[in-house]
Amino acid sequence: MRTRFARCSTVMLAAAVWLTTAIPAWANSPNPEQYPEAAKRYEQTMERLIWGVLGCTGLVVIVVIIGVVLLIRWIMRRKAAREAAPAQSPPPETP
Amino acid sequence: MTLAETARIAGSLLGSLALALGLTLIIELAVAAGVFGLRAKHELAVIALVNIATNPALNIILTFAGLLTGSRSLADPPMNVILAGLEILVVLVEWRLIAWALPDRRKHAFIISLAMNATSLAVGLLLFGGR
Repeated sequence: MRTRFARCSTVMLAAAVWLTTAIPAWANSPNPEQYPEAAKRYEQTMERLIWGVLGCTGLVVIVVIIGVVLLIRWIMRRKAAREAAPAQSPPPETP
Repeated sequence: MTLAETARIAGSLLGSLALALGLTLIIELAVAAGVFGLRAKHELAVIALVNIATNPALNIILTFAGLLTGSRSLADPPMNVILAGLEILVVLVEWRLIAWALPDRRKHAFIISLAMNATSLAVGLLLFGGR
């Protein structure tokens, strides 16, 4: 389960980071006075990109938080099991 | 933007996230163990996991906030308000998680969370000077 969680969050984190790097490209948008059509298309693409980045990041954050909560539950259960184990003493050995 | 440029920026972003998480883990685990005596393996694991949940999220949101507001420094007026709000949120989330995961420490969970986060924020601001 942990491997699957790590793989899933790594892929989404990588996607989010890759998309984040495209944001500074906004500064290279075409001049709207010279190329109104291209500038409009560029704006739409960048807006879609921003929402994609925010969505990916939100998903990564949610997946990481769910994974952490599951891991903490696993730690708590393991601790409880270890504490309960000595209470059940092994049967005395017969010669 | 070229592929090499994209890879460089992505690398630096991931590097800064890893550095921030590493430093936070060192500082907060030291405070938890040194000041509050949380030295059992499961207690340290819970503190580390809680930070893994909150720290990258905080830094990613701060990065976005910086990009959207055009701020370069955490000392700028919109960014310091966002940072303060996010830090309060992180203290509250960590408090609830610690109280839930470590029932023996429930009484002091808020103080533990507040002290850990105040220390790591202070050290971060001292080291990076609000960048």
